[in-house]
Amino acid sequence: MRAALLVLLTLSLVAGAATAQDRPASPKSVTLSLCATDVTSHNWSEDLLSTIQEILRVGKYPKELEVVFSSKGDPCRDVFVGCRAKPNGQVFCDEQSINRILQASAWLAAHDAQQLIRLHQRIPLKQVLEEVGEMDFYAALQITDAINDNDSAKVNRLIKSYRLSRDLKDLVTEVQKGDTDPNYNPSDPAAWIAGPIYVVASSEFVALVVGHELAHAMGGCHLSAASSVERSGWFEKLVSMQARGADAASKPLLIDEILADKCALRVLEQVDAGWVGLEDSISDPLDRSAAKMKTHAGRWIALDAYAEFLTNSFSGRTGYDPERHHSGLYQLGPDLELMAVDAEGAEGYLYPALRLALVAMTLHERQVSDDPRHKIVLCESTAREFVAMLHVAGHLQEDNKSPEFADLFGAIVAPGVVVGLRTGVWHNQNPGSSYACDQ
Amino acid sequence: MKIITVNFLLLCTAVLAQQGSKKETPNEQRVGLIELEASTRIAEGPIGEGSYDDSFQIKRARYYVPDLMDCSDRIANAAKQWADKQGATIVKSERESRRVLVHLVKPKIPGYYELLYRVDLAKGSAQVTFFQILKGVPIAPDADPKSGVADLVPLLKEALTCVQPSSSSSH
Repeated sequence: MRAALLVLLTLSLVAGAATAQDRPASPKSVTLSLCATDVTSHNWSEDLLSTIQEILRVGKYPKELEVVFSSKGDPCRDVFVGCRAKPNGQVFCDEQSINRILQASAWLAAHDAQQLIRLHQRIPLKQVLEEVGEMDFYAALQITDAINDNDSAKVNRLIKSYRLSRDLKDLVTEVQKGDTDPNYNPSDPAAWIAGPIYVVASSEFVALVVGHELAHAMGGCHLSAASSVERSGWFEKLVSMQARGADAASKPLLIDEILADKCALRVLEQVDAGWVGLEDSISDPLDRSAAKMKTHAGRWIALDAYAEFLTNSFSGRTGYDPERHHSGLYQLGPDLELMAVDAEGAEGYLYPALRLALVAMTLHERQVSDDPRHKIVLCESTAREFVAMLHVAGHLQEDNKSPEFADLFGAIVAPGVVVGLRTGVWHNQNPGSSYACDQ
Repeated sequence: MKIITVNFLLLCTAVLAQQGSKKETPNEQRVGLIELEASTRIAEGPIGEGSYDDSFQIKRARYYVPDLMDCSDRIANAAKQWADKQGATIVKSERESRRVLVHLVKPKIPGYYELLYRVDLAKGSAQVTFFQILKGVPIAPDADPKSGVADLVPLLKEALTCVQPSSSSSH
């Protein structure tokens, strides 16, 4: 039996006395514990402190908060999935799933950097793809899992099959060094790009996860300004859609979870505004343009990462019960691998597809660059997951189409997905994949 | 000073009114096991625990039900269904408009269980609670007062959030 292990991150937030009148008194301290039941490396999640501090700062949490970082040394004995929180200020998250997603985010950030640096050098896209290959979040997760299984042969096989460059692994190491040491001076120029991409991605992903849990832990949402999806009516529309759906009576929505999701989207929007605003403040046009591309890439990875957190990250893990999590195997086309997707999520929560759509809408709403193509949409493996969730949940017709969902989500999915939803015709292979980001 | 006194009296009145049928007698102990609420609104305000909850020993949750109905019959039916399965006996059953009160006893379990359902359609809220009421009864060593109570949660949840008129339910 593997020894239970408490992998640090005890974050004590000593709140000031001032609270908004319409909120209950917040607990005086919040403790966030990342728990793990194994002894594998959790290098990525162990570096979350600065990310969370940044979220607290940019997310306009009370300035009186004092952050204390220490390890209690007590093991987290409970086996659970995802995160949970109590209004007395305690938050627990399963470390393995968080670490896995952050690690995959770093791989994708490194790969994006390799592409960006070449495109910046005016190298034609075709040549860029030949040099550094193609990678989506699913590929990044496959490599991450192989690394954590200490299966170097599989890692090499995957790198070869995705035609990735051999120095990608070293670049990921550089990203990690930069994440742990703010004074680190990377030797690879691509690391100067990959690092910031990863920081944006990890902070926005963690903003969603921690933002949701802090709402529970603090007994309410401390951000009172409505997010864009609230103002546009989308939040209410999607909640109402599920609440009036076929499962409404047997699986009613939990008000506390809906409110926590609403709060998480507000936190995300604040954090996102911070990153986008930061890039806008750069005076040199070329530097600003480069910074915007990094931010854009990071935001996109955050969407991929959250999709994984909502759907697949717990499958195959201790404590994962496919029956309870309503997962299903899904194969849209004969040439596409089977995907295990969690279509309904935990009981009482919004369906993962709808939670993901709300995050996509939030990120889509704010345009980072002047280029209209640089709008965040669900694409690549994340779009496949999204469509799979709709399919498993029974929202697609027998002929694999749903014009209703094409109308509903048309703005936030890849163009090919809209076509697929309208026609039921799906192309799974590149070039011409229905899930490609650009077409 | 006057304002403080008046406010204090108002507070006392409000607290007493809230207690209502839940008023404890000196020797009575009420153990909260289930508290489920349904509301037609997702109002901004306090946010409770995520994913699990132990403030009520078995379950405490608030549900969003956009089209709330009087589900009295279904609640009563759920209580009877659970009692039959658990070998419990209904010793008291009060049915009023938009209110159900059921007392149940179960072999080896000290005291009795109280199920109370109330719905206010004008306010768009409903609540069902399940308490164990103890009156100085010694607890049998092999009795687990929570035994079988978890099975009542899904029955109550589905009854509380009924989407069809209660009169169409079976009795």
